[in-house]
Amino acid sequence: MPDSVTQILASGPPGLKKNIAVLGDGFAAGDQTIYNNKVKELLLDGVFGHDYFYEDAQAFNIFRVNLISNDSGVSQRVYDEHGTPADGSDDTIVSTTLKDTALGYIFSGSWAHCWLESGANTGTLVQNALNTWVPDYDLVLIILNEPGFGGCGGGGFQIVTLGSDWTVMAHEFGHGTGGLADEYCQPGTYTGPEPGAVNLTKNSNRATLKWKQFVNPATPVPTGVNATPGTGICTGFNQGPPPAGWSNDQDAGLFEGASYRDSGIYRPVVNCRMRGNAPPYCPVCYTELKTLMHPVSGHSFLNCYAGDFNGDGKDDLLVHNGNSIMLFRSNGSQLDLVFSAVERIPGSWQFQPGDRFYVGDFNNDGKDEVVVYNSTNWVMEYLGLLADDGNNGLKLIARYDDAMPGWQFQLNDQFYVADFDGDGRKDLYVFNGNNWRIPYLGMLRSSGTGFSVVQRYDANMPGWQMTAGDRHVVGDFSGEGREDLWVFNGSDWVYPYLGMLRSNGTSLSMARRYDNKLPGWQMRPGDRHFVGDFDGDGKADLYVFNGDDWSIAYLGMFRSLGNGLCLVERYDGNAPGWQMRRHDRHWVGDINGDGRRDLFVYNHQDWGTQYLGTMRSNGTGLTASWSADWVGEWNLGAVDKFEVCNYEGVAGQRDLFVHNQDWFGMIRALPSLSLQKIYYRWIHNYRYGRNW
Amino acid sequence: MARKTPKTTRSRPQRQKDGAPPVVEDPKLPRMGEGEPKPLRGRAAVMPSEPKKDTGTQNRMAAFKRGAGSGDARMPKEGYPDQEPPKPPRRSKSDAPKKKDGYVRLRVLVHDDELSVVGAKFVEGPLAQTETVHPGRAYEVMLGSRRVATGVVPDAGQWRSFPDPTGRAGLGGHHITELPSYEIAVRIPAEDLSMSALPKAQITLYQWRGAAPTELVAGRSMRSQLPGRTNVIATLKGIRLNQLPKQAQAELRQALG
Repeated sequence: MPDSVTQILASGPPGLKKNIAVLGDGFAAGDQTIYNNKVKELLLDGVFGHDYFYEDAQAFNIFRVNLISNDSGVSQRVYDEHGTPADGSDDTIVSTTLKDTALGYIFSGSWAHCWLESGANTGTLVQNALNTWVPDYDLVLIILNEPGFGGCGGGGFQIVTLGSDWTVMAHEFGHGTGGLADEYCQPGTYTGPEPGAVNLTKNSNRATLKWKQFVNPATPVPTGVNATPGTGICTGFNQGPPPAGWSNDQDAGLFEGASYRDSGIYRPVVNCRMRGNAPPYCPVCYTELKTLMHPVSGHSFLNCYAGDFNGDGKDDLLVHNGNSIMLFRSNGSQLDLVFSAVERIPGSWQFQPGDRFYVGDFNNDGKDEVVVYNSTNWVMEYLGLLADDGNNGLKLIARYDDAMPGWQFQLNDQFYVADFDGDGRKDLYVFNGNNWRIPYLGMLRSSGTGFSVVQRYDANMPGWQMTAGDRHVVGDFSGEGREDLWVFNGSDWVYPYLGMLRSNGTSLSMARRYDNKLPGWQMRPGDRHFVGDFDGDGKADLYVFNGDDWSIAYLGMFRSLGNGLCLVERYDGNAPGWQMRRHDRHWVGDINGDGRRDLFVYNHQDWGTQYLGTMRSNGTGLTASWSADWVGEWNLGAVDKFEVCNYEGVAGQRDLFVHNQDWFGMIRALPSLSLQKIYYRWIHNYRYGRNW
Repeated sequence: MARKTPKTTRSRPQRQKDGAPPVVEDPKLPRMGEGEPKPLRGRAAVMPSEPKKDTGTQNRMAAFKRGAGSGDARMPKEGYPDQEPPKPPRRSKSDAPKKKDGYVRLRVLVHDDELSVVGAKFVEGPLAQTETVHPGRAYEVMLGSRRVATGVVPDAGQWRSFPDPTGRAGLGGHHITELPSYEIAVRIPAEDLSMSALPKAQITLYQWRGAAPTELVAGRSMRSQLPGRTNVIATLKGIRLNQLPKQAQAELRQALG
């Protein structure tokens, strides 16, 4: 069996990521499964399966190198420690038993000798292996085939035994990735200058404290004082009783004892991973790691999708970044990470920048699933269905490569999520007007575990000749429990047309076609359509906005009669409480939870400042209100994107996720708009303070 | 949240106002209902009420057969295969050979206040250049007065034994061994490093005792930009190929190809 390398975490090119090389020593050919399992246990399930490294896995590549040793197990050395295990200077070698291994490490089990040591050629052998298999490494993990406990780290290297656990390795990665200092305590008083590490200080002045932003004003500073220097203790909260709910690893203060001294130097929390290994990183260390690795991870908030992925009635957040997705769970007022996947998920679906996501409950289980389509990054088009994996994440349950029976995928396929057969499972309409000689429209029915084409229209639908400029919206205008198809074309004919095509579950029929005019409305190319049951009668109605084709902007409310439309209100220039402008953009929601669909409206182009508003329907008209420039701490801007959602889990749909490259906000309409939460660069709920 | 957008000073209505008349976006355009609707320019056809069936054959999907397949995708037992990446474009004979995109990774030994190159590798692909420096150790590579590379060195110069898990007295933390020498990795874009540039390359390893991460101005030396105390740990002024160990010479020649 020759030596080999396998990339077990693939986040991106090595020059853009931090690269971890994993080598094994003392693993003979027959031991490779043990080695592979240990790598998975320690790194993928251990370090990268928890808190910080789970979140930022996209900043790292991991290369597992399988080196075949001639002997199984590593060389052994026995020291006589003369009863002073902490002092290696008086130790003598009792025996050395050498084995023929790939890297020549010698295990001693002596703390003062770093538990292990290099053999005569170890440095060269390690370097040769790295040069051959992982030439651009940042961090190196070497696992010895030795059951006893032991580990030695430094300079980005860690050499560990099979008896080590991942928490110590995560601590060591804190050194190697973030330059974090140890927070261990030993007898002695610190007398040096202010330490450079972010998690150490000799300064006990709250106003100038390095990590003051994370210290609650109610927390005493210093928080833990060593009354008995020289005993080597790390202080806890001893300046009064800690408040109820105090967290020893997430609540920051100023605790005496760190960096191998027990006085004169302070650490941020009682017990961070840089002291206790097992706890997660404290806010100070976490923030340093996140700040360092954020540009390496490539994370942003540009591609965000709302969906209730666990069926608790509250919309969660899916964030897509290049070859990764992350799921954040809403508890009604904040988001917390529950799932992070890099490169692929079980199934498998390999994420790429060109992935397009469509969220809906495709299997009627009360939880949202995700259809993902990619027509740009692979040699062919792929469509996948991702569903709950039972563990807060997603897995692929169906995939179609290039085609499915009855439909050949193409570059510009456009999908619309709609339950067109009324079985409670969302289905898909798919349209392609560009990539064939004639346009096509397909009805892809969901079985809950996949899709089948129940109908396809080639060039024409009943009463409608399809052309490339057709634009579609979906909604149950007939009130029959099946989501129908609306199609508008304002560009390809001498007049604009609007068609209402009723679904019977397996096909469409033209309920009504409007040529050139709607009741009380002259159709023009710039008409924009928004479907929502604005009168609460169970039939989807239509809002039509036009800001381009007339001297003033118009907004019409058209009530569905089941087989046609009637105008109930038209606003010329102004709606009550909102001056309409050319670049108004709209989203449908239900702001007051009355079962009547309302509008969110945004304009960042036409005024001296940006406006975000709500237009609430009473069934026959609208009432608007707005916020200008800021919503709480959120400074509205041209780069902002909005997703209507219900992260609170209340009646209706009154919430917005607002996002751009670096910022993410949670806005609710009460109906006045208020910002409930704001995050910068990453989503993390600090116990106190924040990362900007 | 900092203000993202500068406020405009253009002469246009600045604020929404209750009771204000409708804003006229374009006075040349009519209002809805004024005059007869005009046909769309450049379009002559009206949509037929009963469109004809398509009878063409070119560039069409295969004919649709209802019930031809459920499309219900049963996952293969062995799982789905990897998605297939596009093939790289073929290089034609007329394409001039280009220097590969990539960077050179130097292994640099730090010993006392000296740096020496002990190995080199060319690595294909893009290189992310950091312009944010965090308190701690960092290196820079200057070519003349231009900084061409920067990197942080979060952990170097010592070995630490893992804490004893059995709780024996005195073995609760690390046993630290300070190293007389250690290696750092220095990454330089290949386009900036050539054989002729080697003697002009200056590598410096700093210890910066700053208070917070600092954004650097690209190209300018770090020391001139970093507030607070910046100590030089070690410097290498010029890489002289013939003075390197033979293995490093060979690797560097190959890396610079």
